[in-house]
Amino acid sequence: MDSFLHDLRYGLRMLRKSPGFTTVALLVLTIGIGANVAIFSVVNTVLLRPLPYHDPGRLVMIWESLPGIGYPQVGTSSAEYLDYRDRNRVFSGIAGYKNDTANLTGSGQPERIPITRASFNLFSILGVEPAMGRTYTAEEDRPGGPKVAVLSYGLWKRRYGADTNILGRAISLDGQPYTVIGVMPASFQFPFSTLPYSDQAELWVPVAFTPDEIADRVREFGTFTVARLKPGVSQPQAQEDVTRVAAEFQQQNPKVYNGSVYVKPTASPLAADIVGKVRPMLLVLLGAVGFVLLIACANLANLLLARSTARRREMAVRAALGASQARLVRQFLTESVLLALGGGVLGLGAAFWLVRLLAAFGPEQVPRLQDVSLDPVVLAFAAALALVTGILFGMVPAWRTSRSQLQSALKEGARAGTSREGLRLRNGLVVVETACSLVLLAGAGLLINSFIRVLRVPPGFNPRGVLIARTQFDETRYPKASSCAAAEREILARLRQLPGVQSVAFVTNLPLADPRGIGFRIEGHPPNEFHNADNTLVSENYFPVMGISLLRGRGFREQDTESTPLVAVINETLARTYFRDEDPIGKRLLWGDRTPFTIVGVTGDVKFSALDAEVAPMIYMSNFQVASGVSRHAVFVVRTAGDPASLASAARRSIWAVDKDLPVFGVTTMNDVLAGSVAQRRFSMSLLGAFAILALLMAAIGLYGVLSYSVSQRMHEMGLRVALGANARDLLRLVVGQGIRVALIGVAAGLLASFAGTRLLAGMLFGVSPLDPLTFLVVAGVLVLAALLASFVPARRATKVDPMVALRYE
Amino acid sequence: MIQLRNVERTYKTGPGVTYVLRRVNVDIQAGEFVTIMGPSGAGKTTLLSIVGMLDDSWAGEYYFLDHPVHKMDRKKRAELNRQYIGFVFQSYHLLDNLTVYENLDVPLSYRNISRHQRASMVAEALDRFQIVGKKDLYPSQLSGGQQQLVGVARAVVGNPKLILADEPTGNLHSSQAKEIMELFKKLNDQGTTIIQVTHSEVNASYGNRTIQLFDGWVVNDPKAPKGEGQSEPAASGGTR
Ligand SMILES: Nc1ncnc2c1ncn2[C@@H]1O[C@H](COP(=O)(O)OP(=O)(O)O)[C@@H](O)[C@H]1O
Ligand SMILES: [Mg+2]
Repeated sequence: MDSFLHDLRYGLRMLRKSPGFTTVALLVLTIGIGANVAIFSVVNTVLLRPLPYHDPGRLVMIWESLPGIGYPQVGTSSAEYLDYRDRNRVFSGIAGYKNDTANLTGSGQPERIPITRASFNLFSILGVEPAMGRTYTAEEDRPGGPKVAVLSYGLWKRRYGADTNILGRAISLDGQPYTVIGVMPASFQFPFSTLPYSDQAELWVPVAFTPDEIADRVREFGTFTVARLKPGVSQPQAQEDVTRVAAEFQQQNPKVYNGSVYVKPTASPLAADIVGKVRPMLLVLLGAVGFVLLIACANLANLLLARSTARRREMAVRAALGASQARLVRQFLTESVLLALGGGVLGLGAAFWLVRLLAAFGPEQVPRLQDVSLDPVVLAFAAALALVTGILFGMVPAWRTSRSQLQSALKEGARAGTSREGLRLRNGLVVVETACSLVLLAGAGLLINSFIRVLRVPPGFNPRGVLIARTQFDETRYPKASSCAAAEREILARLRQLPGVQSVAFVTNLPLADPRGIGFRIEGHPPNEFHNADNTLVSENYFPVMGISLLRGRGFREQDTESTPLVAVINETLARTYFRDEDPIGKRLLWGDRTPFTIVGVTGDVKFSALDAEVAPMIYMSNFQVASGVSRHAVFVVRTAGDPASLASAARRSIWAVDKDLPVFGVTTMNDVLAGSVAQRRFSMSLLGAFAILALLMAAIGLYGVLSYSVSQRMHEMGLRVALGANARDLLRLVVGQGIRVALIGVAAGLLASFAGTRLLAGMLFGVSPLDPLTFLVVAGVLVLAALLASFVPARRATKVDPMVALRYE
Repeated sequence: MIQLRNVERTYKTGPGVTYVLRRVNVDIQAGEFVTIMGPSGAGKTTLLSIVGMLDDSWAGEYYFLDHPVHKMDRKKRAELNRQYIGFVFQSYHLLDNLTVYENLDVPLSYRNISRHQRASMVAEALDRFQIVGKKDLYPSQLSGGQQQLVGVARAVVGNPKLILADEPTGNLHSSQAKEIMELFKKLNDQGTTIIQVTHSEVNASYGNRTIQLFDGWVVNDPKAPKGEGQSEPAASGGTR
């Protein structure tokens, strides 16, 4: 213990005595540990920290797929949910809910908020108590029951100023009064916005299925089911059981489930559904920062190695005075761990800021990103990381010192340390650094390459000069589709008159923002043959305003009204898929129990769900002919000659001029919508890119350090070579050659590692293979170039050698 | 072959200037075997490095094979060095990380010689110095005498007209020293001009002429150039 304190004091003194070394080492450590702690804290919160429910590992979601139609993942119908609820043998509780939006008016600007209609037992199944008041009862959860609402903590704070007298107050949802009966705690979220078809609810009301909702078993698969497994029941058993229930209700309703209409249920862990999509990305990022830290370690090991060579004499003297090898090793480790702990503390500080940056700029597709914090788990991780780091980079020089012939160091004096073995070790470390940074560069290169390709994908419409503004019509004040239509027409007319506006249009589901699919049939085909199509309702001039090309037939007209035969416009993909050798114009499509839709036109393909997804069949309908629940979602599209963003407030005023109680939201440019659709891609690309640049810099610094050191050790040799006839170019070539050789070995090793590693990225790539030769060529080139630059400075120094040192050197 | 006229070399030391060589006038003919002697610090090494074109900061005139070295730039001087001069050092100065073979190849690699021809030149030198068996050893695996043998072989491998040897036997036993000196004698007999620095009278006896340096002054030269009489320095020496 005493000797340990002595080591500690001595270590501190040694670090203080070489402030340059200490500063560089701390900087490298801060970057390495800071980046790791930041990314780890994201992983910790998003992937590791349990969901904010009681025993969340026992919660499962029930999804269905309709393979016959091509729906890979939907909810259940309300009737099916009731069957799962009543017939299962595996759940101790099961709750159904539907996601919706509502217009919240009164006290302040009207706004549209995401709400969840949930069965009364949702809260007890999740095991969460309200922070204030109560949640609703089974009696309240029935059609025609009292209108009660539970607020989220966020809404309570934001909209009602955390008013503690909120309980019992009436609020207005879609023009109807609801009584606030409870407020949930701040930590409570359900559903998560990363669940399919979900937004983070701001408010919960009873689901209270109406008889009408339950009547049709397959009209809508918008009821979602969360359930808690009975004690002792495993997830596969639950899967088996829901499969049995589904088989039963399908057998019992043969008229409903036939042909292409059949469902397959999946019971999957809730946590996986919430974080599944971001898990690979986060793990890749965690791996990447791990590489950065590895490079930092190699760099530090090299620095320490250079120092230990200079200190061999000191070690030799200590050994001669009776220090054991273990003591000497411990002396080195004390210093390196001391350094690493210092770096760990600074790294925590850096991570604190990085996490805030991530929360501010990260995409919303990463769940709980806003909750990321440096909790005890993260602190423990940082401490462990610092310790391991310190031992890792301290071990190399410590081991070297103890192994080398210390006695000879005494005799050799200051000349010690140019041994071939030492040089090989140092070069080996640089090889590791180069290889690691090549892996990161390759990964980043592939993501950048993918990103560029995604941005180059023609969306099928012209996003430039387009402003978007949204509103939503509530059912209380706009009970009929015709009343919505009238307001929409009026808003369109006002928008058209704004200065600088060229044309305006209406759409319910905007490409790349509001996905929507429907099941349809083709007239004349077997009655149970359903197909899947993207769907949106549009105004007459939507196609020209968006710049979507009309390939055949016509678009919608004002003459297409509720009293004229239904018409539809399809996209090229639908035409090609289902009317291969026929003219689709005049053919008829069937949707629900409506009269058939006659196809009147074919448009060019538009990227509807995502830029990097295949175009699916698409059916456009006229918003002013077809009444649908979705027509209440109103998106106004304004094309202007100038800067669309400058029209934002005028557009808001135009909508409010028609109805001051309409919520206006999502006012943005179409270009921003496009950018938003690739936000997650941009996020992972930027982070990996930043890590790769860090890695490249550190590897270059590492190479520079090794060459500088080697040149300073070889000054005599350089002088000698000049005496033997070498000129400046020969020396330059010698040093740069050494650097390039090391870099090339690293590049080769890195290429091999990348061939294996970039496969992990496959799911994040677009239009480029994980082994894309061009990317690999470019990043290898970048590395070699960096190595050239890093070699050049020490090489220049070598050429300045005075040959007379060779002659005088005895 | 070599004519030095009023060659001076100074070092800036703090506020003043230290003279290391003063008005040196020396003529050396091709085929000579010259010994330079003098106490430590007299300027012997400095003189050798000027003659060997390694030093650029001197004043005076220096004709090498009638080329006016004093008018040449660094590049031209380096060329002369490469073409005509071989060095032998007191502490051998072999490159530790290269084998004997590779050490011999180093000076050739800096000349414009094809790889093939270099190989045959190295082979010839190995043969001539009877160290073929050691060609794959590293310097650390050789005795001092053997190392210096390689050092001489390396100086000779490019067939220089002039060999400059700075205390070549300073680190060797007398028997090893004798071997090296015999080697020099043989080379000299074959026509190579040799200038050696040594403290040993025995070694000096292999040469045909000894120049004495003292505090930067040439104090004794049997063949001092005519008409350029050597002025004897005061006993207090040439540094001011
Ligand atoms: N870089 C230098 N700066 C100042 N003085 C030097 C330098 N190099 C050598 N000298 C001085 O030049 C003198 C001659 O040195 P040197 O030629 O090595 O002598 P020798 O080889 O005869 O022992 C010595 O007094 C030495 O101290
Ligand atoms: Mg000397």
